Amino acid sequence: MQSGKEIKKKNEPEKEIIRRIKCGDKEAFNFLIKLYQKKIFRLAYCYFQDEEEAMEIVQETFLRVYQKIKYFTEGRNFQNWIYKIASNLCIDHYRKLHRTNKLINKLKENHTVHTLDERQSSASDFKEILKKSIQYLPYKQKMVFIMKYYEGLKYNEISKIMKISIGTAKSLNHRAIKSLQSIVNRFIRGNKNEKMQKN
Amino acid sequence: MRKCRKIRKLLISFYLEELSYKKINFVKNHLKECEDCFKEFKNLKILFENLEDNKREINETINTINWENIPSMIMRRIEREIIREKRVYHLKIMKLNPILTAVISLIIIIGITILILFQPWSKKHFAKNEFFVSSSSFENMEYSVARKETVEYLKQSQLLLTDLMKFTSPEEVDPWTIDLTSKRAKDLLIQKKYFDEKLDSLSLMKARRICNQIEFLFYDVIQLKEQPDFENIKKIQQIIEKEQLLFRIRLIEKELS
Repeated sequence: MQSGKEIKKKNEPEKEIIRRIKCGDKEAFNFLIKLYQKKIFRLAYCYFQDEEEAMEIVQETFLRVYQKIKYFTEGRNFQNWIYKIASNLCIDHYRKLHRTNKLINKLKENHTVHTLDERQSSASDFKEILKKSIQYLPYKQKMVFIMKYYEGLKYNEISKIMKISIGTAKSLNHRAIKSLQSIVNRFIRGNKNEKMQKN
Repeated sequence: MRKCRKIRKLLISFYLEELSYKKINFVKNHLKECEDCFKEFKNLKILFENLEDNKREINETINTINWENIPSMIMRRIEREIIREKRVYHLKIMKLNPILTAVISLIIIIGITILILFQPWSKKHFAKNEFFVSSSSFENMEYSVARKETVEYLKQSQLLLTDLMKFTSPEEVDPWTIDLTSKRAKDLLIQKKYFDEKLDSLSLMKARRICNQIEFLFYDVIQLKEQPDFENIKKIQQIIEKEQLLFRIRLIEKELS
């Protein structure tokens, strides 16, 4: 049995790794984790803005991959498949958190409490508001926006992962940007008003 | 103003470079002319700059994590999960067991109840030369036997009464013949005793009535053995004629056979 390093050295194609995982090769699975762990973490971290939750999603995703890899047929795009699993887990987890208001409590713990209507003057505050704004986007818009902007996926890839049309993916992304844009506009307007008051 | 609305709709696509060459020029030219739309575009730029900062922060967070340990951590979790799944599987079987037990015991209880109720092993049911018949068919069989016996009895009685009617004068009265006749009457009375109970059914009521009349007459015939005189025979003959016994016997015989 070859080690993970050897596989990496040989730059073995993904298909071969998957075939070996299906045969029960744990080294190959280790290598697969190394390949995708950062990507999945980024997706989950952008979604939750919380390291702990993101790490939980990473572990859960690879557990699912290990359990369901036997159903993965050759010819399919593995990256799309693993993103699909991760995005579904993110959405499910977000719904659960949302239901129990855990997410809101966590945000309150981690950051100073700001409402979107508050006009903050400093740049760091603006970044905080932007982070929070991303958090408050509707879950599908948020997922598409993260995949497009943070993960750099193409619309056709997003459409396959999310099982939506390319048009829908585009529109969801644009809507998300528009929501964020309105926040920026409000912030800039607020800043101007503050400066005028000072003068 | 209408143009501005149109441009603002295209601004995001313009920034993301998703527009066609023609539309890019259209937006570019407008942004040079319109200050408001340019401001809007500037705001969009600020948004993406901040998003870039956010992206950088995320990348920094990612870099602080020790990724070398993650695969082994995940593998440990997978192993734990496999063990847990096995336990859950066993627990499921354990949970199923009471149901199976309940079903099996129910089947056993039903089986025992059936065995107790019907006792198929009992000698009563499996005795040699015996068979089971339904109550209705048994009644039918009983009726047909009774009918045959009655017909036979009536035939014998008819013969006996006809013999009695043959006596026309005291000279013809022979003690030996009388003795024989009374014996035959006695035998017939005994025979009647056996099938008398079977004549209870409604369809045999007429036969029962005439059989009873014949029975009384036979008692007189038996008496003839003691006093074998013509007078007594004459009395019996008169009763037979008066009651039209021979004719009625013939009718019932026809009815039954």
